[in-house]
Amino acid sequence: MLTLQFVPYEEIEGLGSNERIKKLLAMVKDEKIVVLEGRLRKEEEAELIRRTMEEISERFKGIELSVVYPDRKRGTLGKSIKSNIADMLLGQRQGLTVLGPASLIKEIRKDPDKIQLFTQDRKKGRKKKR
Amino acid sequence: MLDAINKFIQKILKDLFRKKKHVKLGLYGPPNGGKCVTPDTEVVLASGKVLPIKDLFDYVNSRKDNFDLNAASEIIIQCDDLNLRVPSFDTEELTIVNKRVTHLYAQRYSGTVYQIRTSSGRIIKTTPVHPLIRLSDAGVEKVKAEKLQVKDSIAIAQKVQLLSSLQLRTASELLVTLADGTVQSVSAHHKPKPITAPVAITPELVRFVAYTLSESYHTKNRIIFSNCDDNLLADFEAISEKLFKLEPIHRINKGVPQRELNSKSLTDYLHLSLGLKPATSEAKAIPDQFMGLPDDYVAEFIRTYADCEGSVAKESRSGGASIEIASKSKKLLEQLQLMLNRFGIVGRFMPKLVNGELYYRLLIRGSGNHRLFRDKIGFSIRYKAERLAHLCEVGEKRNTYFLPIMNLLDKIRREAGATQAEFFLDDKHAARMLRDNRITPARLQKMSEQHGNVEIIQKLARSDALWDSIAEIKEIPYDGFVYDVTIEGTHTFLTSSGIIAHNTTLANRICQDWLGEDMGIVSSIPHETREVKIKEQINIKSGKKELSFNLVDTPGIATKIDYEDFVKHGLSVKKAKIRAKEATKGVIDAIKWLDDMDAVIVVLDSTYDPYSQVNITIIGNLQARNIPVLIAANKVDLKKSDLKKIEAAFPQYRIVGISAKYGKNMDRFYEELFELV
Repeated sequence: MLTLQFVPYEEIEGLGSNERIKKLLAMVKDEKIVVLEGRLRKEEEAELIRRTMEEISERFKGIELSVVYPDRKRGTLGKSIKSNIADMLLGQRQGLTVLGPASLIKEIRKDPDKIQLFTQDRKKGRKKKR
Repeated sequence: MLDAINKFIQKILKDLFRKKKHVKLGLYGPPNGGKCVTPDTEVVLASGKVLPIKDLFDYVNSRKDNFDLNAASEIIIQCDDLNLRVPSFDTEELTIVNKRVTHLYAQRYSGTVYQIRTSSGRIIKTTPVHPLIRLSDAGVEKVKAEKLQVKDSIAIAQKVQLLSSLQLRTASELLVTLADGTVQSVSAHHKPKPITAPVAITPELVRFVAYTLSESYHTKNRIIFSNCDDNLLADFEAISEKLFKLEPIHRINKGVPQRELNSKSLTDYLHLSLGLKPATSEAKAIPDQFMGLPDDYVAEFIRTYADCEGSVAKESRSGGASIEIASKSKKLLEQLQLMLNRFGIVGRFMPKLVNGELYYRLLIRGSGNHRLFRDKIGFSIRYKAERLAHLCEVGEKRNTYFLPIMNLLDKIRREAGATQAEFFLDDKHAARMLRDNRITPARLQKMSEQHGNVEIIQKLARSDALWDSIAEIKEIPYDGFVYDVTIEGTHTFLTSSGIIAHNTTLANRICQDWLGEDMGIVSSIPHETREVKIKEQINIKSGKKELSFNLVDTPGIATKIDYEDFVKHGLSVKKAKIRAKEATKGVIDAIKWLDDMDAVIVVLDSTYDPYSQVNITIIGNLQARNIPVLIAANKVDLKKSDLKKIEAAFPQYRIVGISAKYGKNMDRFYEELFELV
């Protein structure tokens, strides 16, 4: 059975990078697909991948990971300032992160504004849209 | 206004950044080792000069850039303006033609090299991915050394035409020309006897050099020729008088008559005009200029040398009927073979121990070779000439070279609806030829006269190459520099032993080192590169541009690694698990290195959705760290590729669409790279 776990940003807001990664990885290793409100910092993302690599075994084959968030580098200077301010106010709360065990997820397809998640069993293929 | 300020600031930043030397450039994509040969591999130049590839590199480096090899891990030098030419094998036409060298490479390499020895005693040492030219039922193709197997047939040179001048170098401060036209060595202690000095190469001079190189003792003051044949002794004496106005002293040493020339002027003259240095027998070498002389001069040289050092052996249990030429100098024999190549004569190299001393022999076997030797060169010593004539009459008993293409030919035969007798012009041996999958060049020659319309037969029959089977492949650990060249158009070069090696190309070099793909050959095994490799200080000079950086090859970043993927690619479960473990470590290292990079090239597959590729994580990370990024969107040769989509996904980055497979757009990639750092 496929388990989706929704994690509100509050749940990780107070945690340090280390704990955040630990928490997320534990959920994924527990065969859950995690939908996280907001996103990790870039360094955390890299660290998550690094930790994942360390954990890889015969049972745990790694993760699939995808992030959507408004792209602030795109568009005019004014827009980018605006989104910078939004960033400052909201922190990493903007956007959405989807991650899960590679053994369950076949592919996460991403467009700038939507994520499609395909599970390994095609009949059970699900879509998540934003 | 804001835009203008922005641009101005960017320009200043860029200029500041450009001044920074030796930046650390990260590459996120799976790279490979280069294709190269070891420094001792001797390359044949069109002028006849044969020299180690390292010396060739050093020579060009001194003429061009003078890079410090020890400070760099990789150097690429463009040298098409030097007009350096080498004989090169055209893998389409199967002919050997002189072509220009456009680039030279040196690269630090630590790993296995393959030492490949053919059944005719020819040896080459290359890195695993360096290709040689193979003939099989699939036709003529380049194959990486690591993919070659014992018994595979690889190309060696048969017909090579070199070209040099008859005019000799003159005028040197070490030799003075006297009023009567004679020359004299300059000496502080005494007055050496002057000699007459030929200014051009003549048949007599060619014979004299052959005598000096064969059974002579050659020091810096004298040349002593020993031989039991009266005619040869007389000839040596006559030439000495005619060319140099020198009269040899007659001696007998241990029963062998000797002719001694005591003349520093002569030894200096030979050294300065021909490069013929006094040498021990192991170090003797034929003057470079002799290699490209007209046919009759070359024949004269080989005949004289073979009169002294050659013998004709009958068929025996231990070996076939052969003309055998011996020397203690391997280089001299290789040069002699290169001279024989002019007449299409190809021999085998065999070492031989005589009284504990190592000699080399060149064995010329096969009546085709014998007849060529008789017709083009011959012996002037009568008993040797008679024995050779006898060998030629006996006819073919053993063949040395075969073409392993019977299956291919038989397929052509069946398609043409011909019988074996009609097609192979033989009904006695065709079954055996098919069983062994081999056909002799002589039979192919006959067939080519009958089947004028079969292209492969025509080409192979006319070919300037022979096909020599691999006798042994050894893997040797190596740590040091390896070298390569690029040859314009044909992309092959000749080594001194005659093995034809494929070369590298600039585009291929970048594809291999920086994009992890060999042009035309793509490894399908995932995570082929599993560790971070650091190449310190790479220098590239192309045209007027120079770039110097440290390259950090990383395996790229993945978020999942499944050992079963390796099993699917043919690895055993145990090996697959080891590989998977290595791959995870590679990714960890790649992430660690992110902190330490000055600029990064990220390779994306342009046929895939850019948002779904893991490398997006890297780009985000690099952005957060303010590290400049160049995105190489690979595989733009494919219909599925969508460069626009990648450009839309990363509007703020430099993106170059390239095809590593076909080397497309590599120039622009190069330009962008120069811009980036």
